[in-house]
Amino acid sequence: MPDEKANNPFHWKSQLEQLADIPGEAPFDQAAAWQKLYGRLQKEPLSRKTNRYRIAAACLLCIMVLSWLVWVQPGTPLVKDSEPRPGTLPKSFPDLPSRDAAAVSVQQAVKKKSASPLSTKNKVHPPLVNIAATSRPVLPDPDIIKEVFPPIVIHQPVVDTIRLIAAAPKKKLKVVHVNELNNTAEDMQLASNATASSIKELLRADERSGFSTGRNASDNIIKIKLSSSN
Amino acid sequence: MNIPNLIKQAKLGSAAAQKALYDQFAGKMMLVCRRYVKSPEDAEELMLDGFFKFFHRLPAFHYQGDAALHAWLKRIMINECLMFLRKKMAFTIVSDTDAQELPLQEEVLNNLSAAEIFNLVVQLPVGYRTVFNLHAIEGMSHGEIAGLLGIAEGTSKSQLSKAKTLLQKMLLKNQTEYARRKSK
Repeated sequence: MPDEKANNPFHWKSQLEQLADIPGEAPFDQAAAWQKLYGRLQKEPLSRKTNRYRIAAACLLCIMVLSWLVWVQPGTPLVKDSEPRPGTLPKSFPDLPSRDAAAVSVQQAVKKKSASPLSTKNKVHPPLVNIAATSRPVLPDPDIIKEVFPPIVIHQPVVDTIRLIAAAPKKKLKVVHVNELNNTAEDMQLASNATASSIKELLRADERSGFSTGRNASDNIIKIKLSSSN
Repeated sequence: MNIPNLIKQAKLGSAAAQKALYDQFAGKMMLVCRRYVKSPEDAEELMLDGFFKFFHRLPAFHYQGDAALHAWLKRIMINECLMFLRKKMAFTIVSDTDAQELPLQEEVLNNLSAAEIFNLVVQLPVGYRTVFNLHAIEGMSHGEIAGLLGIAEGTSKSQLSKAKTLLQKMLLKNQTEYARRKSK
């Protein structure tokens, strides 16, 4: 038996290291394997440093060009034109008016248009087509907005966008004066409910009372006089 | 031609020097690969890949002795084998803290021939075999093995324990044969 020191736990390890061939198997074809290896070595050159440097330089150049395109040239549209989602405005443009502000601007535009034919004394508002159904400016359905207003283009400056919002809608509002009311079905549809009906009642009340603002004023006056004598 | 001269010539691209280095180390490196990968064809491919990388990295290598060169080349081969095993998903190392460890009878191993030890190691499942090769044969720590294989240190320890247990069982199975040899 060999010396106990040779029974070192790693002794079997050193035996394994000294193993020359795979036990139970034919030795592999070293020459054929070398041919494969040699062919691979011939295909690819040993020094690849220059190629790596070239690739690194090309990558740097691409990065520089891309950064120049992105940062140096502002205003270049990066995002395609797209319609805003209903009820929302793009957050990247904080200066764009909110929905309420847009509705208020629409009302103001409507009011401006309707203010001219009326006198300041007449407190009765003419029947107007009012998009905002309630007193509080609230935008209607997005579909209506799309029909009335052109789609907001994101890449345009903020000022242009506001102008677009305040621009005349596609559907022209028909301004109807009180005196032009013909009580036609079309007018009935166009006029707002409360104001139109109240105006009519006023007119009827005037007729009943004998007061008239229309034609044949003199006849009516005569009638009144006659009636008072009796 | 001695190895330092061969390395000098190989750095300059001499095919003869490269072949001489290949002939010097190919047999041992093939055995290293076979310990990790069971298939002879895969082991041969991995050995050639290892030599390919060896010759490519040779210009940056500073010769510090035959042992250092051998260790560096063996490390390249082992890395190739581990990459191959990871790609193949050949093993899934699962952490198991309930490993029942049996003491490995080292003296029995010492009495075995290198071929028998080799056959025993190759018969182990791929996970046990990998950790056993890296720790018991290559002398790596469990921390290093965990980093290489992407496992926890505790998992490495449990895998080694299981490998020893299985080796022990295989040794006990053939104990009569080993005892007979011992008596001789």
